Amino acid sequence: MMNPFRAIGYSLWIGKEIVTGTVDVLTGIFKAGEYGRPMIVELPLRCETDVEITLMASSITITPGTLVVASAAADERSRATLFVHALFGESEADVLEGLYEMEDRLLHMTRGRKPEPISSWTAVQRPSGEAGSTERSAQ
Amino acid sequence: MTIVLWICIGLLALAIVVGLCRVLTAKDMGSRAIVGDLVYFSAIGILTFIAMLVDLSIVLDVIFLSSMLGILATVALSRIQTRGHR
Amino acid sequence: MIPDTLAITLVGVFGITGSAIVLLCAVAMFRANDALSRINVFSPATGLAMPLILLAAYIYTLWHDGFSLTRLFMAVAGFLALIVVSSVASNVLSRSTFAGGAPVWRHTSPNRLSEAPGDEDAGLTEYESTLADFDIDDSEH
Repeated sequence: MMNPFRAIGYSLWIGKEIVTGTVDVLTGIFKAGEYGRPMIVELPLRCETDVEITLMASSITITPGTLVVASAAADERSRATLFVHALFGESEADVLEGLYEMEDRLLHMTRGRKPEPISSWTAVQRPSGEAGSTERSAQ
Repeated sequence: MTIVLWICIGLLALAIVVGLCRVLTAKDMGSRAIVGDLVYFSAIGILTFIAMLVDLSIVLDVIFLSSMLGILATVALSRIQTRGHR
Repeated sequence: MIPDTLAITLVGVFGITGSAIVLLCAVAMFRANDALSRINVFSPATGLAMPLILLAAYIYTLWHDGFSLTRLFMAVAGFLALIVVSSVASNVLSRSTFAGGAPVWRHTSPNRLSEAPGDEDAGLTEYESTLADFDIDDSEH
């Protein structure tokens, strides 16, 4: 069950992210040239239940600078995926790193333990989702 | 207090004007929907500050109810965008 | 309950900060290039500026009417509703904006949605095709 203290800590962390994202959005106005560097990245989730996925999508959207554009449900070959529109990332890897940190904290809150590290499955992306799924079902 | 409230009302009104200017130059439906949202929230802010200005006792009621019901306009606009599909 | 100077200062700081953030968000929307970026830069207004205005309103009520449990409940519920509801609303709006075929700025790179194979986002492509059918029906009438 969800630990209330972790929930409060996660809310505070989201508040901090909102403030830093707001600073990003507002300082972007005063820079010359085009506004922001928009990109749409693909984020395969480690979340499994509907509650986790919904919380994750809401957390991403409420953070200024990132926005969930579309979602794909999990099937037997791939995990649930969110497509995230990011406006102020340096690169795709940079954006994904920030999102994985958020997911780490979220899953630590809902499950009470840290999820498996990304490095064990992050190489398993769209070309072959089978290895990741079998690893997950083996647990 | 009056000066502070008038400054806030002026800033929010300016935000509405800037958003409406952008609607004139952007032609796609999504921009119009989100500018509609901006106008909605700015209007709620202006109403709150006017309620403070004339000493009404509904200062919190305005913002409480509108924050609960603000999603209805957005959902209606997004249903219009996809022409009734979900 | 609160001295006049403190109340005016706090209401001024929170109210003017919130209003200024809304104004700057409008300017950022003016500078953004496509609908998705506009929805993206709108989240400071609902996630930070409106709670600040709510805080200013609550401090004003506290100064004017004194403390009341009902008012505190209203403020807390409004605060949570602003954050949660606006987040869900942005999700719905961005999804329908994309599915409704709004143009995405050409400098959006990498754009994983345009590269994804058909089976990966099966729901989305199927959805778009039904929308196209609907278009044809609409024009026949």
